[in-house]
Amino acid sequence: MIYIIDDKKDRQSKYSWTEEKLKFYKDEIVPIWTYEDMKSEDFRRQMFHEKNILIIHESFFNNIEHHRVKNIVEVKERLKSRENLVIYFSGGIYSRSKNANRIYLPISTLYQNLELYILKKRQNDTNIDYLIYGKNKEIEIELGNKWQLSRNAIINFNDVFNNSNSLLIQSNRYFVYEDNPIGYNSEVLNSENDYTLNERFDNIFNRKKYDNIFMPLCFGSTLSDFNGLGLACYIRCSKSLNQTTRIFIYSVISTDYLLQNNYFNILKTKNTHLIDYSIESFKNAVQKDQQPFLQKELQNELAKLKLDVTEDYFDNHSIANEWGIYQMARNANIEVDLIEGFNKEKLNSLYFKWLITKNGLSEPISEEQIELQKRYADTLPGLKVIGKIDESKLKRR
Amino acid sequence: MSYLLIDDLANAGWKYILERAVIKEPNSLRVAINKEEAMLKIKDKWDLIFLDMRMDESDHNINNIKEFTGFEVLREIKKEFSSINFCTPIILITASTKIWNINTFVEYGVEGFYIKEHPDYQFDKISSQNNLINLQNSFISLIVKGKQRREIWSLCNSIIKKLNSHIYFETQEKKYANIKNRIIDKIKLGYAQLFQNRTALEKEVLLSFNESLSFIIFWSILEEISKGFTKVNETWNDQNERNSNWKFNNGTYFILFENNQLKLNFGKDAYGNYIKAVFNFPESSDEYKKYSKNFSVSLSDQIYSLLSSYCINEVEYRQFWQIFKSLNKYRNKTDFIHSSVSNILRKKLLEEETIKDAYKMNVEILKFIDMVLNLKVN
Repeated sequence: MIYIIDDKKDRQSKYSWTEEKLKFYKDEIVPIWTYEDMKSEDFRRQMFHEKNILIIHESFFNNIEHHRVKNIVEVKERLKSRENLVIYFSGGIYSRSKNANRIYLPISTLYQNLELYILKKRQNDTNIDYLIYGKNKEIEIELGNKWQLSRNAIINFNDVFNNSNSLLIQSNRYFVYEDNPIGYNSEVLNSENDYTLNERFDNIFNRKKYDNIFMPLCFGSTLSDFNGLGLACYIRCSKSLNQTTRIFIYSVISTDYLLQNNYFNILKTKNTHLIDYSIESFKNAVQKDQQPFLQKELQNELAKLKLDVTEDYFDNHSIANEWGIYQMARNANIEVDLIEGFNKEKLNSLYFKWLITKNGLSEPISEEQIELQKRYADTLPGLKVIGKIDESKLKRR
Repeated sequence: MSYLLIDDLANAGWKYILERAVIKEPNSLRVAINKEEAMLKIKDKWDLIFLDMRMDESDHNINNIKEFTGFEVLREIKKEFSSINFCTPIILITASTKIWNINTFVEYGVEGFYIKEHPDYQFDKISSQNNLINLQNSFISLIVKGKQRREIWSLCNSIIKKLNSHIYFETQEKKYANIKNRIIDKIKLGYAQLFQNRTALEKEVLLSFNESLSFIIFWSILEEISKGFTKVNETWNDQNERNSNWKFNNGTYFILFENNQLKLNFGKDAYGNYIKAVFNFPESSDEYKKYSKNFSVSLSDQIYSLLSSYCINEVEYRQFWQIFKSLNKYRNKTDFIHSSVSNILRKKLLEEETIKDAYKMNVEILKFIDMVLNLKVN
């Protein structure tokens, strides 16, 4: 049995998982929308049966209403116990990953592949890859083979970079990397999402200004997510010494594979290139003569990216709330970090970083605006004395 | 001061940011995060309410705006004139950019709004800044307006409550019930006129002046009050013609023709002050003619007489007529109707002095009506 724990019916409907459809698959799926649904001990005992698969939206336990429930701790602990296969999904997960009894999926991937997985299961094919990769799970095998083959072309990066002040990022899955690079800096990435990347970001990209950054098209556990494109976007959208550094994304496949990727348009922006994984391509890239990417060009260049609202937001209402709070705080000259109840982590997501950068909001507000806000604050005390209106304060405005 | 935020995401940052960016007072905002909580909390008095348009997941599947949770809460707040937050200013906090949605809320009493910015409809930097400034300006003006409205609303409701328990108006007699209803209607009419939103065009070009017109409406309530204190069946016949005498409900006479003499229950002493005494006028006097049944009696005379009839002593009478005198004086300056020849020939329609005191005089006239309804009647 699959237990799917998601408190947003609207989100499910968005991906065509209406209540009717869930009822239709009632022999395979048990939907849980609130903690009330799993309140009884019997129900929980059944739910945690070792053969069951538990699918949980990452934010379910963040719901304020659910925090009030005493037994919630018990449920959380049992989920951690690794007795069941647990699949977490959320809009903050951009790349699919599988690790023992834990799978992490983007919302769209989960709901799009869920029906296929159930149908295959009915035919006694219980391969969980159908849930992770859908019908095209073969593409993962194809990409895996291509990367494996590329390992044969061992490149001496010390020769290629030749003290060119470059940073080479490699994936720990498919590349042989040198322990002691001499003519370049090297980092290994296996990051699955914005939030984990954010923790390492400064360490990798903000210690030193490079002339070139080389990164793999694929890293993380799912090759067909082409995380390199997302990483390039992340670098361009994050304040750092290397925000405008030239980026070369090396790959063993052509752009045909990438056209449907959300971040494909980063390749249309200035000084971001897709190159072959070959000595010649690396050398040409290092020697490539081109105009520098200026900070003032960022806003226009990043407008070429058309990122969709992250899947965390099942409707316009939710994102307008977070963006609205961010904008109000910025305009009132209040640090977003101080706002109680506001999920600041969201601002580390690529989507928010992109919004901030493309709208030129990473710069502080003007002195004039700060002054306006101070004057507003000065005006208020005279007004708020009950029954007494200090008109002189009003006139000052 | 007390503020309420009604928003399902109040605790996800809106409470904090509104306290810091708009109210500028930490921990000043109470919250209601769902309809049930909102319906309970709007039973308490608030100085200003921030209201979200859509507060429930189901609101996102509704096309009819009047079924939005925020709208239902708004209708409850503004359900009737006596509702505790009827006069409380409401600022709509919404992610909707649809002007017709906002307009529907405005039609039912919302007076300011803040559009939660959405990435799909990203404002440029200046517009974004103006969005906040607009909210801050609304907050300031509504705080001021809200205080005035609370003051007027409280007086209006005090009058309505007194009418509803007043021995003269709580009667089966239809004529008095009608008088009471007219007073309540005039109260609402005056309130509506006083706080009606005026466009800049109306203010600058058309000389629209709410306070002056509302004063006239409130003032005119005295006509009804006077009749309410009068034995109407003894004073007017079925054709609504006044008999010679005018008798109050407490049995005293305003006008009494007796033994070829006119008796009035009020008049001025040698110093020009009104006093509570019976004045006799012979048949040959001007007064005798002036108060005969063929002539209409001025409102000010009706009120001076009523006060004389119902004030328990000279001290109380003096207190009342002095207030009334100043109101009457202001009324004579506010001459949209029944203008005196003197005003028509010499004065502008809106004198600076009239404009300056207008709001205060609205408060004064309502206080006066309230005081009259408090007079001992038996």
